[in-house]
Amino acid sequence: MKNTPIKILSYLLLLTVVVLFSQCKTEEPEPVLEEELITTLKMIFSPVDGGEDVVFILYDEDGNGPLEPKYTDDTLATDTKYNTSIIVRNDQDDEDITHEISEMGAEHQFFFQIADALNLSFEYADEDKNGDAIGLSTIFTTGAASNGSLAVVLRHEPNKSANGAAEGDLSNVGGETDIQATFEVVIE
Amino acid sequence: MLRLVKILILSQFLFTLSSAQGQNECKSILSGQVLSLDGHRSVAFATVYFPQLQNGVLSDEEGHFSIALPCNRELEVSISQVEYDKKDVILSVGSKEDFKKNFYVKLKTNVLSSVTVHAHKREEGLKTNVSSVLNRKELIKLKGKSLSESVSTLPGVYNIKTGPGINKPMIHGLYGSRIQMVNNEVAQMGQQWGVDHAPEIDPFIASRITVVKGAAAIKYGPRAIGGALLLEPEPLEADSSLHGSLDLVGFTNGRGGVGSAMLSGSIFLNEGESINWRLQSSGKKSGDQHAANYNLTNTGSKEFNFSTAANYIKDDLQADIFFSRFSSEIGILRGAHIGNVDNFFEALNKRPPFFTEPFSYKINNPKQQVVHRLLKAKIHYDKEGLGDFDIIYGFQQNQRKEFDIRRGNRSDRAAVDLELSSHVAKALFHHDPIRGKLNGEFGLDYEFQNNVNIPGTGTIPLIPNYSSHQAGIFISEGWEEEDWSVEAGLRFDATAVDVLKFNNQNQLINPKHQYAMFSGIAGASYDISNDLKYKTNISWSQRAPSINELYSQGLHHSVAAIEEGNDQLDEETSLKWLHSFQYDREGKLKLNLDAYASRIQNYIYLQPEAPRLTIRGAFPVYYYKQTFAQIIGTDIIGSYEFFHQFTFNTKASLIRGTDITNEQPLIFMPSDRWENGLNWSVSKILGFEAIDFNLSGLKVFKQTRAPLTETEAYEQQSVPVPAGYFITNFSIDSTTKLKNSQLNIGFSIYNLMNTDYSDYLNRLRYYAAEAGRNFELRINYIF
Repeated sequence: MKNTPIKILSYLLLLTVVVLFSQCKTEEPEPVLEEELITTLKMIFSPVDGGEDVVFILYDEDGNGPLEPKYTDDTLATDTKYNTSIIVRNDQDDEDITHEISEMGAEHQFFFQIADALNLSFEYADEDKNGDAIGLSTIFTTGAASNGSLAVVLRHEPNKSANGAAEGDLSNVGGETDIQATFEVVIE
Repeated sequence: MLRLVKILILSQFLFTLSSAQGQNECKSILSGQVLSLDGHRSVAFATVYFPQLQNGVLSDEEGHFSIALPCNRELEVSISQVEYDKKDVILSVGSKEDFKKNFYVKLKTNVLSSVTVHAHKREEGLKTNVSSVLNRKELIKLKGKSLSESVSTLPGVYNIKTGPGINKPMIHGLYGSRIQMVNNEVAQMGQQWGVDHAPEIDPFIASRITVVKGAAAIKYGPRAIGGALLLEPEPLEADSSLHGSLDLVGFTNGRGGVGSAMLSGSIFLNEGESINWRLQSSGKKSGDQHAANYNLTNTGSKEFNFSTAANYIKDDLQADIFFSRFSSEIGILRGAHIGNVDNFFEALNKRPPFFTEPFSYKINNPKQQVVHRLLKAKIHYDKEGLGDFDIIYGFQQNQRKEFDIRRGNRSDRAAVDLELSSHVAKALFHHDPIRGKLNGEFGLDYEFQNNVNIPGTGTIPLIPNYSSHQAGIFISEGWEEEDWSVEAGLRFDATAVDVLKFNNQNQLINPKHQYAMFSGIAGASYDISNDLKYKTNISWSQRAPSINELYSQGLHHSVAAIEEGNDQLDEETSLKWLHSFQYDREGKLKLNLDAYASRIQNYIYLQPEAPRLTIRGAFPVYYYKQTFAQIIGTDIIGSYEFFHQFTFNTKASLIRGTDITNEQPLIFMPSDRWENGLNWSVSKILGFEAIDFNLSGLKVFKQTRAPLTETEAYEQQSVPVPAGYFITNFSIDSTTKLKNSQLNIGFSIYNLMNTDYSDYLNRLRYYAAEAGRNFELRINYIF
């Protein structure tokens, strides 16, 4: 506001009416926890024949905020079979979301896209109440040394009977993406 | 008086003569009442004269009369009374023993009778402002359509859709917080900033809808920078009989219907004193709508509204009270609810859309639920020799809940739960014409809003809790001569906004804003000739940023975009120049040309920027920015009557918006459109009073000036702009006059060719096409 006379006039005008309605105040908001926030995806590869777990992590500290999600990639051994499990968390409120996904299993599915250059294959190891895969538990098998990307996508309300869904292909499933991660995998 | 006596004697003589002559001659006794056109008040001592019979009768104090007439004849009747305009009608006399007929006469305009007509004045904008009106007859043909669909039939008015169930009006490229909707003289206070927030107004309430296309800020406040939409119910006046209407509309696309009923009456107290009341209710139920080739799953809707009005009229004083409740539940296309940018491009190319299922009436998530209550009180007082005073108070409560597809079992909890309460108080003084030519008014306006996010959503609010006060003062004066008139108006508003919200560090902060806004308008009109009129006005208006422009934050699911407010925004300042040429040659050839140019400094709009990466994928982020914008356009409407019964109609609108600062087209501008129609009107056929046949074709051109910013934001591929399209509509409207009532029956076929098309102004155009063919039947009964 530039001119003082206008400022005075406007304040005078407001004063008369603010006095009348001075008891009406802005209501104090309640702090809100963004309940559906997912911050963390952890993919844990446990070798079937024993040995140390290999963990891949995607961590987005602030949800829709400007901070970019951070990846923690790791290395898989050649020619090994891994029991893989996925953990989903909301680390802003120290909450585990994995059980929510397994409880509403029919509404969720993890899809995996493996780069051609990467010698990696997988199969689903769990199922929802309708017999369709969820993807929280999978079995990954590595081949010869190679590297490439592994895309992991969690879809909410996908069409599990669409073409390719049972094989982990999300081209026709629709639904809403809740997690989209692209890990850089090295097999050596 | 002497003439009346002469007639009395004459009639007596003739009566005796004719009865003496032909006792066997067939006579039909006509009895009825002479009533005023305005309000159906009885007209005392009116003469009902039959020149062909040289016979007449005088009505009594209550306007009643009775006279014997020869059977099976067409007779001229002349009704006159000192206070009323003389009326001539043709009366058909049958062969029944007696029959009833009332005659309605119009009050002479320069006579002040004891029952004032001032209170029944219609809303008037400035005379030199350009506006279009939908009157009662046109509204009958639009029954069943939402408010925005009805007004977008007027040139220069466009309809912004969010799927088939949500419609919002746009005037000359501006919408939302830049248009003020005024419902029964009270400024509508809802969350109008939202593009997908349809106006919470029941169009059945209105008997007249006016779209003011120039800046209407002077009278309606700073939000009317782009224009105003005025809805007026029928004035509630003293009437000796019960009146009302019944509406039934059924349509095939959506397999639904709309119904409405209205009843009004009066209780007469003493002379010139009455209590008048009106009850009204309407409801709508519709299932999924259907595009040309597939079902639009989850686009059902339902609505239930009611209103009551009562007033007390005593001579120069009128006190009104009005209450209305509007409630609606609208489903949003299931296939439009997507995740990130990748999901968006998948959905863009998928037809039928994801989640398409067979027809259903069920409304699932995502959906909106809105309830809007309005309470209005008004006192109107006419001070003879001075002018009239109006004091209006309005209280509104707007409750808006939006339900989303949520994880876990949260779908029953609203993701957006807003309650906006507002008070408006207005004092208006309209002075009597000074020297018979200077007309004007002076007013004070006050507005208080309180917005609350109801806790329990489990999501961060889209807009924060806030309260705001706004006070305004305005004056407008006009000088009217026979051939020309000039007008000017000035207005000043001051707004204070108080916000309470949590910042990124979860601390409670209390930002406050103040804005001062000026508006001014100057206009002139000139009758160039008997047939040609010219109007022009130039207006200057300012608008404070609205709460969403300052503080919006969150992900909007249907456009896969994050929106962020900007609390550093300044007021918008707009300068608009409007020209209007109106040509009317004996009602046969009519042509209206409106041309306008507006320049808006600090024009606030959403600018998409580079996508932001989150764990859910990439989303473009839209920031509220300011730029220097220019919008120019023209609306043309013409009609030509030929062979007496046929009328050719044409309507065209062109608009060009430019972001001058960034040297690119302005986003979300409507494309050019041209509508042509042929109307065939026949009267008095097959028992109908009139039947209108109408065939029209609307051509909407492709928006070739959509800016590239949308494409860059989505990065991966270009987002196509819909191709141009052509739609044909056909309708038949009939009017039947019954005893003291009217029956209007209409039948229409919209999108006759079941064209599959998309419109640029539909925000869900990415996911599905527009509605396909629709058959509609309308029955309207007025008594």
